[in-house]
Amino acid sequence: MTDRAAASTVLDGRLAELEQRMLAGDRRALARVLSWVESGDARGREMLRALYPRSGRARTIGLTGSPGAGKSTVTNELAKAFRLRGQSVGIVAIDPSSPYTMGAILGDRVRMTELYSDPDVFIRSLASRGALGGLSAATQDVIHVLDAYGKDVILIETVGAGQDEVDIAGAAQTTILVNTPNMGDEVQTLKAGIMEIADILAVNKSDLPGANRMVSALKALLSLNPDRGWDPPIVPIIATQGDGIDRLVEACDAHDEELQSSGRL
Amino acid sequence: MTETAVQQIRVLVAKPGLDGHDRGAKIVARALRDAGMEVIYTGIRQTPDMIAEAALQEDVHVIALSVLSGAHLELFPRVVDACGQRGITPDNTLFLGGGIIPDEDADVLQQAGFSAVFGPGAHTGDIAEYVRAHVPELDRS
Repeated sequence: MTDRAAASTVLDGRLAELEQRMLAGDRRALARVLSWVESGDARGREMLRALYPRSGRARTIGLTGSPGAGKSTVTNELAKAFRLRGQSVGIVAIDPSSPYTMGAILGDRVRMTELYSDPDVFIRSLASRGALGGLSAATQDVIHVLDAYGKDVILIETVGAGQDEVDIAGAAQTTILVNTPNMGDEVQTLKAGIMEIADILAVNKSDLPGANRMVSALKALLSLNPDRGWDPPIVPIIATQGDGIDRLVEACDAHDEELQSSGRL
Repeated sequence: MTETAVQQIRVLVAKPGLDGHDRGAKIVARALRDAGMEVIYTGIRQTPDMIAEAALQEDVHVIALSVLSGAHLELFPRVVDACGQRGITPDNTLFLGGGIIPDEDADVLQQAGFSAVFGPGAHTGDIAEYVRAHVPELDRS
């Protein structure tokens, strides 16, 4: 028996009811389950146990890069592109918590307002709550829940990342590093860490001077990476105008196919 | 620190309507952050449906609205309506209003579901204290 009723027997009445509502597409039920999961509530752990067998179907794409690189805008554009294909989208957007008060301003939604009226896009903002790797401790669990809920594609936007915030590589199947022109010699500092985990390199704001030089610098750096069976493509984009997003989606698809065919997924 | 994580208060700060004066909203967002809350800031020119949808997805305890154009009597109740259609009501969520709001209008807004209205000169510390005092009274079951 693998039907829904059978799976719910691990939950007691009220939780089972919430699980049913969530799996039937109730967004409010989903939002509440995510809150429990995020805060480490016991009900969240029970829900995760019940939902876990349903996850593993969604494609997960992570976006990382320095603050102001355009991660939220790129996330917004990718979400629109996947929606045009008829795929449902979940977005997990992480911003930093204050190390002093644990408060946070979660502002990624400001760049995503055009997605609000689409019922097949669900956006959840998370505070890093003291985690250091560019995600929050509950990010992976939040992804599992969105996956079980039935999202086809889940986009994960990290906190503004510098060099060593590489946890996204473990949480997402495909990792996009969003760069900008005029990082100058900074690009040299990216040699290790975040540069190694990128499956795709986007050069955003590529209408700015220095974009071509940035592409060359990235190519040169990548040529030093050991061969791992996948050459990360470098994709120039202008996210605010939607330029190059189709090529970015193609790159995501190509990486997905490579993961499937190489059996690394 | 699971204890604090469980009690983390989430607040949506939004500006319905067309005025772009977001200074007040940003000050309040920052003050609530400094009071240890997680503030989801959605920016200016939001429709009531956009605000309600964001509140739903983010599962917030508090919805704090700011309008400086004088359209608060028109816009604030429409946000409460849009939220109500999604099961978000004053019983389970704190609605706060901010802006240039005369006392008699504040009374009308309280009838419409706003538990408090903060105008010019309000202390940000008082707003944070109000939120902390009243969130535990919400029905979050």
